Amino acid sequence: MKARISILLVLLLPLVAAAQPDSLERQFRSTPDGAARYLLVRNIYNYYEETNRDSALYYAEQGIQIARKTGNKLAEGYSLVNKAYQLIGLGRPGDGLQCILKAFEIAEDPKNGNVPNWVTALHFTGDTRLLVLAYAHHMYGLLAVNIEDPEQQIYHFREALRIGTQIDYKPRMMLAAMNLGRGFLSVRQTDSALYYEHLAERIAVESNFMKYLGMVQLHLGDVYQSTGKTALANEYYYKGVRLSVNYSNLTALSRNYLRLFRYHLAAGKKDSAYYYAKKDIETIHALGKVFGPETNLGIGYEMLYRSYLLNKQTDSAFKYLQLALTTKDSLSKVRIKALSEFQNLSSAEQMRLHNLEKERIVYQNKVRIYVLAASIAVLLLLGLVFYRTNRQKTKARRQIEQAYHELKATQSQLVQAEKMASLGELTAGIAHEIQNPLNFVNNFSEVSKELIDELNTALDKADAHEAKSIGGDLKQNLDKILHHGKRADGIVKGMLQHSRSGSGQKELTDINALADEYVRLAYHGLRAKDKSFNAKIEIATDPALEPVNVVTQDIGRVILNLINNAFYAVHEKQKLQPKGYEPTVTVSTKKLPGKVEIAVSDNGNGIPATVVKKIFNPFFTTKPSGEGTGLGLSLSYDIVTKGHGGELRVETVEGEGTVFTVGLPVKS
Amino acid sequence: MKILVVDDEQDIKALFEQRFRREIREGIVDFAFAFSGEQALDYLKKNNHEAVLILSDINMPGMSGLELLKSIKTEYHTPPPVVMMITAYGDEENYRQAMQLGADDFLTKPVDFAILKTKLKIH
Repeated sequence: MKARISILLVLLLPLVAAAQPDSLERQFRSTPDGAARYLLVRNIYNYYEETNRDSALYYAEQGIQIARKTGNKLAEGYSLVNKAYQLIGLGRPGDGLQCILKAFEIAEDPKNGNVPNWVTALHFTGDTRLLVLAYAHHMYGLLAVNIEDPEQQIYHFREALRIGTQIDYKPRMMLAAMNLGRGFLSVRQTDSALYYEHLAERIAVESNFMKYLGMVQLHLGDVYQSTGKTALANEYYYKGVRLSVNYSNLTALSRNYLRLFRYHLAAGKKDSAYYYAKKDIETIHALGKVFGPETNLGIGYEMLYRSYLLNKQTDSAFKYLQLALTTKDSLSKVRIKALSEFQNLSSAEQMRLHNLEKERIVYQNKVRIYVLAASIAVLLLLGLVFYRTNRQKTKARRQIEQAYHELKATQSQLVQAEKMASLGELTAGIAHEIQNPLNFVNNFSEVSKELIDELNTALDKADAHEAKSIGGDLKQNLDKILHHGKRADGIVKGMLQHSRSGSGQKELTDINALADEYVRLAYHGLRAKDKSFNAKIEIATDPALEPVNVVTQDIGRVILNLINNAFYAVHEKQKLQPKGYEPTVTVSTKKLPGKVEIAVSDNGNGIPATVVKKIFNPFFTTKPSGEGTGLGLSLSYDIVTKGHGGELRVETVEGEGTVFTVGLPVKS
Repeated sequence: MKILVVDDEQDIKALFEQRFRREIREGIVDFAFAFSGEQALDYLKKNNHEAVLILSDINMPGMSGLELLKSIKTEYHTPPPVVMMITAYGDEENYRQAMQLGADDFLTKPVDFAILKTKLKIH
């Protein structure tokens, strides 16, 4: 193959390429992967690009491999587009499309832009990634030409021209403009076609990018041919042949030959027709297998057949007719297959590729989202668990604290309620107790007034003895008034002390007087509640008792409570056996070494052994509900033990009675 | 006229002696005092119907005025002494019980001595 190419090049083409492909290929084999090796490949590819598709395809593939190994994405994209071009030229548009799509993937991702520029001449300073992108658009446009899709041609070449202009890369601009012209021609917009072909020619000449100038001439010829300007068209075709030969473009050359053959055939110029047919088929042979709609061997054989037919060389004509038919048939089959493949690709495969990519991204995103969601869910769950646990703990703690505070509050309320309850019990007794001294105060005051009248009468009579007697009575009355006034005052003070809550100071207290006072209060209180109740009260105080340092109202409360209980006990027993029972409550005091004792005894029913253990517990009561708070003995116990360092004990015999004894320590 | 006054308050003696100072001096009334129901019964036993009028408080430790009343009305038939009960203001229950037990008259605390004197002159 290489030998034949060399021969053909020698025969047909005055080579412009400075470097010999043989020496380049030797260098390529001895150069390690890297920029230099890629540049060698690029130059070799450029050499073969329009002269031998198999070799060009091989070196495009080599370029891809080198680029991949060295991680130069843009070089890979560039070589992929090169490969696509060759594949399209070889009648494999489907494979070409795959390469183009890969190239798009690379060129459209800005992340890939950060690599050295291996794909253009060194003077290019623009964005290489955009250059590759423009090149990919260009190739898509060529693919659209191959499958005869003008809409896609115009779109992609326009994009290529736009991007090429943006980065000011002349070869790209020139080729885009050239193909855009052909696109407009295929939709019969000849003015636009001429505009872009002339633009392409101008760019080519200005930038000395002459390789495709022959193709531009062909397109211009085609434009004029389509408008019936055959002579003008032929001028362009001749010019196209010349420029294609000069700048080594076999594709352009072949097509220009085809146009000239058609012209001479139609004009009946058999020698010229045969000549161009022969030239064309040689060119196609040199170019390699060509399956494009315009440039292929079938067309070449047909051209020769028609030439021989024109020359009446029927044998040769028949031979080439056979060749043309079989070639065209197989080419058609190949082309149909390729086109159908391409159609599948362009619709399904393209979709598939895009969808695959999308799916991959979607899948990755999904995986990421799932992992993230799972992580978040786990974290949330953990957070929730911690939060709930914490909240429950806090809540529980708060509830306990609240319950505790409520209990405390309730307790103090109950303590106060107990005081108030006992005060309530006392009220009737207090009223009675206060009534009597007040009566005495009033009565003695009244009688004293009368005595003063009598005193005056006695003085008038000068009865000194009577006057003295009256004076003595008056003095006695005033003493009585003072005594009863003080008595009422003491009762009121005692009541206030009793109801006062808390922190009483310890003071020296006459326990005997205290016991006496509270016995009376308790008795009258109980009588006020139940008139039928009566009990014998014995007070046996020890005269030797000295004042004891106590909180008076607290100890008073204890005594009151014990007496109330005693009255309650005897009252209950009285209800059960009214005959022959004398309810008796005894309050006694006794001085002992280091302490005093106050004992309150009753001859009630006593306390059952099962109950006696509980009587000092708070809220324990044997009274019907609503009658007792169950705090009386509990409070008494606290007052005596905690408040005064004393003791409160109980002795009871069922059916015979109970004795409560308060022992208070005395400091000697 | 012999009057027995029953009250647990000791000072009631001094009060009555002063209030009826003139009557006592003139020999119209003669007072005896008992400071509990038990003492009153004792007195009645010892002095055998001497007192024509008994004036008694109700709320007393030990034997109450009502018990005393009951005792007098059941034990001393002929001639039954007049028993006048002294009740606290608004004490309907005691009043009712005293009426049932045969109390002859009532006085309300605080005792109005003018009223008491009027009542005594009637009896």
